[in-house]
Amino acid sequence: MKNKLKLLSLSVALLLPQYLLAAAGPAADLVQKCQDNVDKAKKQLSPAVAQECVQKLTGPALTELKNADPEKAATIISYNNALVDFKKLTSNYSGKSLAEALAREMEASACALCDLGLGPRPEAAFSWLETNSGGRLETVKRAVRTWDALGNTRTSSLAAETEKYSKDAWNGQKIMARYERLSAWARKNTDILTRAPAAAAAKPDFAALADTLRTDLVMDGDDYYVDQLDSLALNAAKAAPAGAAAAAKKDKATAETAKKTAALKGRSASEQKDYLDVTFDNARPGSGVPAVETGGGAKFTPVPITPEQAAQLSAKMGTVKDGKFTGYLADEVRGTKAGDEVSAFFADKTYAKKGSNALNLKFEKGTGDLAGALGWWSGDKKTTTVNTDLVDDYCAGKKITPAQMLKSDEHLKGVARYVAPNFVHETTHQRQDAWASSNGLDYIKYRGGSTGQPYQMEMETEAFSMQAAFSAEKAKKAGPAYLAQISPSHRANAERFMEDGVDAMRVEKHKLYTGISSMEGASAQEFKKAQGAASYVKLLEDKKRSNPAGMTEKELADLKLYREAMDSRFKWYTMVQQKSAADERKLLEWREGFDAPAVSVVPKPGA
Amino acid sequence: MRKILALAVLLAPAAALAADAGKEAGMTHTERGYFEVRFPAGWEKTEAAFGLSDAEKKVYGAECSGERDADGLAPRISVRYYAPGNLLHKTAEKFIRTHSRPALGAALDGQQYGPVKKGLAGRQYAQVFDRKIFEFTPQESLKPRKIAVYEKFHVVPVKDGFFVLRYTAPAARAKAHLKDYEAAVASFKPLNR
Repeated sequence: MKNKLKLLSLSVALLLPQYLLAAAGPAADLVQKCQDNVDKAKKQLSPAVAQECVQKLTGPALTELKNADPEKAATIISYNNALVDFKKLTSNYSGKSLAEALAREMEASACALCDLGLGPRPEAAFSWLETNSGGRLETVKRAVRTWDALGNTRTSSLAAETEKYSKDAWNGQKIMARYERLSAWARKNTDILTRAPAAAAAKPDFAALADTLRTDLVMDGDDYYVDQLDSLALNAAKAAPAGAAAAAKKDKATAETAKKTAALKGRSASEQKDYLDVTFDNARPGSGVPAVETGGGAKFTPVPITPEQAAQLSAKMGTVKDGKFTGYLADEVRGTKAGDEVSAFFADKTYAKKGSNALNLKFEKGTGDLAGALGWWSGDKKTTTVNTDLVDDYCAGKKITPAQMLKSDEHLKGVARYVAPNFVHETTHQRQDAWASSNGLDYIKYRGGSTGQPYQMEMETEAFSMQAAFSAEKAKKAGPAYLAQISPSHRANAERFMEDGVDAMRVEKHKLYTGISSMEGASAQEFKKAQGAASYVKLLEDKKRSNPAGMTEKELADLKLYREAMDSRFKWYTMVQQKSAADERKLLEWREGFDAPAVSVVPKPGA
Repeated sequence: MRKILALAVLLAPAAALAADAGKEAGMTHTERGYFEVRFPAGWEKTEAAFGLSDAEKKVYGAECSGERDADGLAPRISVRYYAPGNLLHKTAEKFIRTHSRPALGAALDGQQYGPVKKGLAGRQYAQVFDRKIFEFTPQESLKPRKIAVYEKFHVVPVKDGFFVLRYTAPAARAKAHLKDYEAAVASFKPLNR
């Protein structure tokens, strides 16, 4: 009888719609808690609960929810991730970095925070921050340049500008527009001071005014005006009576620093290192990178590599034929954990069938947005590019021309060594794209000119950790000689990785990528973007349940299409989380093996 | 008897410091089951980034930071407990080895490392060392500026795992906040270890 009852209840359960099962499932309490947390009417918006939801609402619980109610699942995932991201951004960043991060999340077309009443203008979130930010409200106010945090000097001056700014008009602007406007205001006032330097120096509040202006001169092209202010400060210090000299000392020190910084402009990395060694440390110049004798002590003028020479270099550095990776870069990376993964990727036959692991290596000069990039992977063009600035820097450091470099086996090895960390980094991005494509996660089609999986910070975390792991392993095997042949940036990455692991890369490198969201921020945006599709799927599924015969062919086709689209997004969310955790564990395990020989540095008891 | 007296003398300054620290305003952080520490008043806690959780890494703790400078650098104090089997540093000795000397075996960028000495963190025996390292800004640039950073560490080995108290500050501001760190160190109290 018991068995009969069991069979009966099982058959009833199988007949029940999934959404009813989900409501009664073991994760129902968690789902309800997560839904309540982002229900605007309930006014909870707790970052701690949001963190719990992001951590726990995964795996089978999430699958169950998204199958039963994709709209609810998308809402819960989007908004709770948005709260977690917002809390982390406002806790860990300040100044312009925080401003850029908040602009990225609050002014995006898919702004999940805005739905929660925490945007698009940051002032909308001040009340939430007062309760939830652990005392960071004033930091945020200063960072977003809200009217009340500008101070009287700025507000009275801005009110007199042609725009006749008021608090509402000012706060109605986008965050970075405020920075742009303050930069223009500071430039104008710096010009006024520069035109009458004696009058400027005589101003009793000159130092405070200069400090205010410097705070606003943080946009591209503002360096010139900062230099002008520093010159004014120096002249004011010279002209000031003895009593005022101390007050001017701070400005003078700032000007000195600015002078030293300016002296770095236009120098190669090795020249800069020499300059810095002497200026800051009184170290012996050139101790890091051994120079190549040019003979007779002739003065050497660096020669930039030509596009034709760059093409020759590309062919020598790396090619893949029949899955075999050869060339100077192949030799350089072979025998390391990261390098062997790269070689295995190029040899992978499954990827080869899809054409996603072909190596199209280029050496090109970065221009426009890529001017400052040392390398880049283009998922659209399927090319891995190394900036020829790196090659020019190598040649300048060795005092050789690109033509000499191309003829020298020793220098080709040297170039490979110098650029290999960047190559490992960019190839990691190619592997990420191949992985996403093979798993059907490349659902973005021509969004903002790009196709592929959503680009988020974990992709850079992995790429930087891979290149740092590569350099650290090479250093372990080849010793200080290797370290002397790579750039200070690559050395620093490897050191930080060995000291503090993947987290060091994740936190430090996000400062470089102000346009990229964290995984939480990207998840908030992706599921916010998908809310329309999720609602449509729910509508069609409800109709299919209640009136299956009434479904049109188009509705049936749409249901299949949009259900697949939603499934791709949930799959991306789940798989990226799993991949990120697996990558971190793998890299930390590698790191354990790169540790220096165990020599005790702890003093013995009584020593 | 002499031993007990010596210990009492050794512990007295630390106890006094801890008492002084308690009088000052600050925020007490309790890492449940692991430690208690008082962070400087006005400093703000940072949040852990995405990635493996504390429980997955078996590293528990907190970090707080003071005001950032024009380079975006802020003085920071962190206190962490590394449980046995953690994914970051297997032993206290390994942590000390990795941080008290060049992690890659050579200091080519002018880093300076002080000796490892004996000291106290609260009432706990600690290995203490400091160092001067560098940040490069902009990062990943061929034309980086080198910014000196001062760091001081107190590593407290316990029966199961170890604690690390860490102070990081731009060298130019390091002295000004060192007393904040020393006060935090004096307030440190392991729980149930």
